[in-house]
Amino acid sequence: MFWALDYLCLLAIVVTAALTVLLRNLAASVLALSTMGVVLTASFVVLAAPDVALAEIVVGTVAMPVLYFVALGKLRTVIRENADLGEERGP
Amino acid sequence: MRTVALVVCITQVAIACSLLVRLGLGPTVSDRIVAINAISIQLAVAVLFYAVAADRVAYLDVAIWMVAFGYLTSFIWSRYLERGLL
Repeated sequence: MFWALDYLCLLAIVVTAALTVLLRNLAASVLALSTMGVVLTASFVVLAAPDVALAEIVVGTVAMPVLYFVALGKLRTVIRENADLGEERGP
Repeated sequence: MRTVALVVCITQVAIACSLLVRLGLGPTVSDRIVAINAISIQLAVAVLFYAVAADRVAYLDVAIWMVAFGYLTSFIWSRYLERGLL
């Protein structure tokens, strides 16, 4: 039954990668990228590599989204201008 | 016991996969932050039950780090929504 975990993790990785590419809102796209880091961590645990999973948590969940977050802050995107944080009014 | 833990683990991962719908469709960024927080917690509990199913103690560290950094991620994004800049 361990194969079900493998397939579920692979499905979630593919879905989050597609969401990262397809979402129009920049903040939502970076959130999908962060989610892919979390799901990759679970996938590494299923593949019996817990130390790689620890490195993936630090890099994929926190460090890389924070870098994108600083870049979005430098770009002064729609986040500050849209009061309701709507979806359709992308850059 | 191990089979029960594995079934619970698979169910938790399936719930996390269904939460991806809210991540994709959520109309506001706040919905997506709540969705990523829930996904992080669900996958941490899944790793916890996987440690029981596989009988390895080393996976418990991963669960602790997943919970801590999931909280940190939602905290950072909430601050981003509040202030705009870092």
